[in-house]
Amino acid sequence: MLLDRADVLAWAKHPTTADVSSGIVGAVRSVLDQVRIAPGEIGAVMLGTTHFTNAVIQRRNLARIAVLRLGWPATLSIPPLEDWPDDLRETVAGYLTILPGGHQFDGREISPLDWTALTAAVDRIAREGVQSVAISAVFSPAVAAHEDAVARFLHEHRPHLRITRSREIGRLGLLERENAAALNACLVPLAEETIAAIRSALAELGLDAPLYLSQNDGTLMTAEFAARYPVLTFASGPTNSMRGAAFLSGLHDAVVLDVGGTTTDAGVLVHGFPREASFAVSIGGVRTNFRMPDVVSIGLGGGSIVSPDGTRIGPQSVGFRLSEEALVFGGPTLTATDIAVAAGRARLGAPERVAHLPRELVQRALATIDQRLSELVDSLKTTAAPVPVVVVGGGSLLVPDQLEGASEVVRPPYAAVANAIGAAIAQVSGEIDRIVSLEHQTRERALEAARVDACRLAIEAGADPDSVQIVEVEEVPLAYLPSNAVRLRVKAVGDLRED
Amino acid sequence: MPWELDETKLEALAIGAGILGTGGGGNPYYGKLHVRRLLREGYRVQIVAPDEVPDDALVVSVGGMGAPTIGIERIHRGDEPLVALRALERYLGRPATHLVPGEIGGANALRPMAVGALAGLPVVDGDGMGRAFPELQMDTSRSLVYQRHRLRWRISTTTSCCFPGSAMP
Repeated sequence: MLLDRADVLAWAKHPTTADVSSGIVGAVRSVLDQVRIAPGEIGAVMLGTTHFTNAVIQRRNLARIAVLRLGWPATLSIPPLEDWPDDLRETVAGYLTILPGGHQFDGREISPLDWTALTAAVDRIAREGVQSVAISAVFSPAVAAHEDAVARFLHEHRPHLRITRSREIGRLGLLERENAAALNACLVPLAEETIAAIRSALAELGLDAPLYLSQNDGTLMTAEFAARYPVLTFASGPTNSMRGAAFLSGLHDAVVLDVGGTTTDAGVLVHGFPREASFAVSIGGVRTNFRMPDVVSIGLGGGSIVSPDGTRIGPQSVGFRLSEEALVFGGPTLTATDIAVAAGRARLGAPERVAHLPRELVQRALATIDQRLSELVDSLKTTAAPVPVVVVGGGSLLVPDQLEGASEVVRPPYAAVANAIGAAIAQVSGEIDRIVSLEHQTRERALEAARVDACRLAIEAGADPDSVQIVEVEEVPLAYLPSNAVRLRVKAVGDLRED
Repeated sequence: MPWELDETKLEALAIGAGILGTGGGGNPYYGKLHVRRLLREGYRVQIVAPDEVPDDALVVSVGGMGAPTIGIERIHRGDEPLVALRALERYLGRPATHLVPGEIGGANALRPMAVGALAGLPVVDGDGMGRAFPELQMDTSRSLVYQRHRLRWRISTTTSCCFPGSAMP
């Protein structure tokens, strides 16, 4: 997808290749060929990838890691990686330990760092041949000191070690944050390799523009940053589709349906960004809590197989074989696409091939499709009022123009490549998530400090300072804590600085 | 008949406790992982019906109170409620014979199973509320005169595991 600000100049769709970079090069080359633009004129390259998610799900190319938890003698009841699927734990667990350290909620130490024990841990890491380490300390989102000190210590003794500090990735919730840090540690060597390969492939095409990767919340990170924090790309797929849908439709508050061949992913746009999941999200069987879009998926897409009586549709699907399997393409299988064509919702393939379908069957199947879609929309809404629904993706012909619960059904142009558009238009963000005590400062002052820090992080991440604005402020009083504590989350977003 | 908790039943119990947490009470997930680890290490948890509790039993309800927010970050060491139980036994001058959940919803639902495993005591299937509750005195054994109640144990005391750094209201 080649964009000149808001205008789509060219686009191409290529299947992913096993080595990732050759597929990307193929797509980039065909886009450049379409518009005859010199590679030197490209200002920035944005890449959305599910490569690292897939590596976890398929247990492929993952590094063996060490997890150092700082919290002893607390936290012993649940050791690191306790609830990971056995096959994944066996693949990656090199050395897991719980050492003295960590903090109480009010900033006091649980126990001081034990340098003798840490020295022994460093030796053990070397003996195990582990190259990548995750460090997680109790209450590190509030007090960073112990994770930082141990990271420095490891770096001094073993400069080649790749180190992930949990507070850089996750939020409150030790196990989930530690899991996210450990997944990240597993992926860092692969990320370094993959990103280096993509860079050299782009360089061969003469593209020397800065490379960015899109992350879970719909904003960009530099390729250097992504090589250190590959887990932050995990949910960029659905996020990019939703951001693209917002851009293409001009709507900032809406439900987005991304209808594919096998599933429909639905999410909610709030101020132009995907609403985030408020609870733990499982990836490849591992519970994590870093920022992820709140996406609900159902097994209904263009290739979904329809039962002979029309009452059941999916989750079985002909998937990418739609163009051979569906009736309208001369195949033997009754799919959701055939129903849409028979009902006149779409013109596709050979409509006469579905003319024989009993009217009753078509009506029943349509009712089933509509009901499941409207239930999906309903499950995402937080109020009863109808909301605009933006439809993207290859299977969008299934969605009716009138959908219960929808104030309107919007079908933007370029809907098939909303995902790439979402990556290309992405902005950069900075986020603060901290617990503050309101005993010795006012609420206003604490909020202002968080706002300033969030803006600074966004600018550091590459945002144009003039464009940075606060898009989200969340303030949660923590019950029962004696110090009048509040959890503050503030997010700032800005346009990518053009250098 | 007494029955033994296994991993499948533990999973079902944790799901039920999550529902009966009715939106509060903390997440039973962490207790589930602890009990599962104990079961895998060879500890056993026996569950008995209220009818199977003898008249002279000392049934102790075990749980924690305070902010669940702390518990998701500073995970339990695991033996805190056991320490509290031992302290209560010293105070009463007699050993506990059974444990019982004060509430069967939320994080406290599975705490007695862990203590039961560690202390080798059976856990009574007859919690004090049938869900999670906001305050300690809302427990059945405190809000009813127990002679009038079908439950047959004579003494029921809650041990609150208060250990350094935990947040107590």
